[in-house]
Amino acid sequence: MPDRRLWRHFDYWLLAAIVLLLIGGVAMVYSASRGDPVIERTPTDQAITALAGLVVLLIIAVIDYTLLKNVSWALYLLTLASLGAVLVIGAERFGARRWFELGGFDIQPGELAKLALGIVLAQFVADRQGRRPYLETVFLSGLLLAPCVGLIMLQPNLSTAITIVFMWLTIIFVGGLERQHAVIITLAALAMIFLVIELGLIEDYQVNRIQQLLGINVEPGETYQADQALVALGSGGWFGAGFGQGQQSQLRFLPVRHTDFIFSVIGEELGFVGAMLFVTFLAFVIFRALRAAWIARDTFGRLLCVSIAAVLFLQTYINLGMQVGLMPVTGVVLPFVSYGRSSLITALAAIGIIESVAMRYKKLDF
Amino acid sequence: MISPRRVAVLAVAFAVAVLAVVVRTAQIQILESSTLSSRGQFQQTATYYSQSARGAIYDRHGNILAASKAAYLVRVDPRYITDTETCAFVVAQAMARPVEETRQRITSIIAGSKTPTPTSTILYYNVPPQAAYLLTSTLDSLGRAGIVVQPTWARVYPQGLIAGPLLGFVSLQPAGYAGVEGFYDRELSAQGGMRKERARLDLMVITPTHSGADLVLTLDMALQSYVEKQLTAALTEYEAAGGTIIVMDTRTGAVLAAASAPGYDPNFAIDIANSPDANRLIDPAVSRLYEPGSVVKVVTIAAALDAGATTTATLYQDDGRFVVAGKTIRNSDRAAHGKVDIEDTLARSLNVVAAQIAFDLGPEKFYHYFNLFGFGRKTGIDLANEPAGLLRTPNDVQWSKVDLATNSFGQGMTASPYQVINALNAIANDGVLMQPYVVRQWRKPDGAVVSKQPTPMARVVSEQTARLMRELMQIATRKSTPDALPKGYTVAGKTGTADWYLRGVKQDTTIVTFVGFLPAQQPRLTILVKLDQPKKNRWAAYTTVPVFRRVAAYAAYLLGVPPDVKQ
Repeated sequence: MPDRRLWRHFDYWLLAAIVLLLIGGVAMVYSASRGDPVIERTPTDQAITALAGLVVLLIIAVIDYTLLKNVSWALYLLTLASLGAVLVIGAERFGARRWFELGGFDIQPGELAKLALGIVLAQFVADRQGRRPYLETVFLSGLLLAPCVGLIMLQPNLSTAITIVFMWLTIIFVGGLERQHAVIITLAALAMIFLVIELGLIEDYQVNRIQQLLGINVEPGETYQADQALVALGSGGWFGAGFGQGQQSQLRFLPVRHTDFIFSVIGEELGFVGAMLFVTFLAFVIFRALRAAWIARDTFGRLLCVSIAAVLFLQTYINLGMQVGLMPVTGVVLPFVSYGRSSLITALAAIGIIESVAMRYKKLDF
Repeated sequence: MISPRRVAVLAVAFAVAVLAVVVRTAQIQILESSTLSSRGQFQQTATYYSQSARGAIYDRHGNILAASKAAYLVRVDPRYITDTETCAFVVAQAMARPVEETRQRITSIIAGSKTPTPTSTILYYNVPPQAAYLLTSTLDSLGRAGIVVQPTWARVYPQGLIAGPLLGFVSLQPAGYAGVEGFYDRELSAQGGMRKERARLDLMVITPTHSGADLVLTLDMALQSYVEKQLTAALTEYEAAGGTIIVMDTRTGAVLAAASAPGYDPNFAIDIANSPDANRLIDPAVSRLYEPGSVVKVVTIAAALDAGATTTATLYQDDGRFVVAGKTIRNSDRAAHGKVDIEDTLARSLNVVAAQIAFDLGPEKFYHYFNLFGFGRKTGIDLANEPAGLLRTPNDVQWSKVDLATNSFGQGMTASPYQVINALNAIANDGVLMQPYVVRQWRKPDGAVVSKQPTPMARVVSEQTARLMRELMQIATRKSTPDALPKGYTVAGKTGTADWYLRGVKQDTTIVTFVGFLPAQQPRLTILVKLDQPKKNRWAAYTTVPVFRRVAAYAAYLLGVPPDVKQ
């Protein structure tokens, strides 16, 4: 039995926010999938996954996160192997191989990679702390990351690749990157992005979506998804059309409304007030993750929490950003709210790690 | 241990980003709300014509000949299509069609939409509900990908080829074309209207508000099937290019069976319409004009008898030639037959004498009668695309006396098979010309039943003239075409052979016709058999006549016409 005193520092606020987001998410998935027999099972699925995920969260919270250090290399190899395998035996949908289909369950190794690589990188940087030059750590950790990012790009799944790179940048930033190096890395990253686009390493549709966002080379119809999201949000006004009353969603103008575009459904049906409620809770979750990073008792725990906060933040930002026209349209789900079993379990497991770190921050004082 | 300060920096950076989202959301949801929500209302309101089920078509015994069933159209919306590959894949899968075919169709529709005269955007039609549903659910995950699934009614013709040309077909508009579908389009199609409805664009659900009237035809499917078989057999036996058989109820003008070759299966009419073969979709029985030939001598002689210009005792001198305006008319056998009367004229089908009779009658009376018999004007049959036929009269500039001579034996004029059978049916029907018809009843959706009454058009000759003509025709048939007589029945009939013209140039082949009725003196059935370009034999007597006998025997048996010849 874990020490009962541990639970004194369990972040109940965080758990409460997560539970509220899950309830709100299931409710909105229900509203978005109503009357569509193809996806009518999704709210039930989502609710069951949420309950299972909460159990996973609690189990992980109980486990001392420092134990993760022991398995991090195994995790790394497992990640590489599954990312490689999905390219060969994964299910292809709409031109991308991102999924394993296991008895009705879809498993996205890309989702697991985010969490696993967070652990691997946090440990790698933490273990090397104090070593000079720091740029060597940056370089080596980048080397560690590169094959995973490469395999993800091959799927192709640009948004997951970007998320992982962002997570790495956040870890090395918090890990002690010097200011002038930060500038160099920013420039290098921009150069990389330029090269990737110029060398045609990303698909035409990905370039298109970025161009659409910037308003260049737009053909009518291309911005359909983004337009429909804007119309949905705008139709919501202050208080929304009411639960289950959003015409954009109920009449199925909104694409993938139960997953990627769930925020537009929220905005249309619950209005600005409802949308802000969700945004507030999401922001709260991210800041509680950063709080855990702040109070963490060791560098590994701190970087671990930072990596999780970074991923949650970026996913939230990209997802909301694409619906309000700040980001190009990509297949990124809204954490805890969008339908998606792989992503939900992973996100809740991540929160379990946050809790594990938070619970143990004062342990040294005893 | 590393400093937590940078965590605070991150927190600030994240907060700024979230704030940007909040500000942008507020801008959309509050400042731009009215513009965006009116855009939403605009796009969610679909305006379309409501469509209701088209009425069914039955034969006289209630067999279904045409019906409507729910089906879907899959359209391309060229404004919204971006990912042709994915769309082609998704649609092809749902339709169980090759991806390549679907991709090509989509590409050509998109290309067509960019031209000044946009082509149809229909990708697939008559899509069954299961396939449409499968497609819709896949499309749903793509957002509006530029593929629209639209509910409509598909027309099905359970009998396939049988009576195809007579029934006609329905376009995707939907509008009826040709035959019964074309003529009764308004009655069959339900009352439509414009409706505005908040609806999904990818799957509009239309509930039928009205339904069209059901039609009951005069056709007898058993007879129709038999006639179709006989026609097909005749085409093979005589190596003919086409043909028409019509069986008419003598007293009413109701069409009991009408088969035409080459026919078509109306289930595939839209494919045929889009092919180079599209002119197959006209019904030759009603629309194909031809020189009827000697069958018209019946009309010439009846007219002369009725006007008193000839009698059975009148004798004519047949020198084998009749010269008019420098043109020489000859008999088909190129021979001279000496002293002949009208009975011989009919039995031997003498052109020279027919011309003499016409000249004795005089152009004014001649054309008065020809008009009365329905030549040069529509019969008024309830089938689409009926032409009037060509009959020049002295009032026309191009008319000459040569026309009078040639018209007397059915040349230099054109008529449709329906015009020919209807004209001769007037003789069978005691001198009264009927309006031929194929729809005997329509049942309106409100339950009202309207029955068509037989419509006499005109008395064309007296009852006595008609009876006399029937006697002459009966003798002629017995003498010259005894092969026309089914066992147990007398027949009054007349052959006709005309040259086949291709773009105004006389060809080596012929069009042969036999029109007859039975029993000869109390006719119940009038039957026309026409064959185009029989290669085995160019004469009506050896081609259409045996076909007539078989059709007549079966029709008389089926309709219970009592035999009039003791066995």
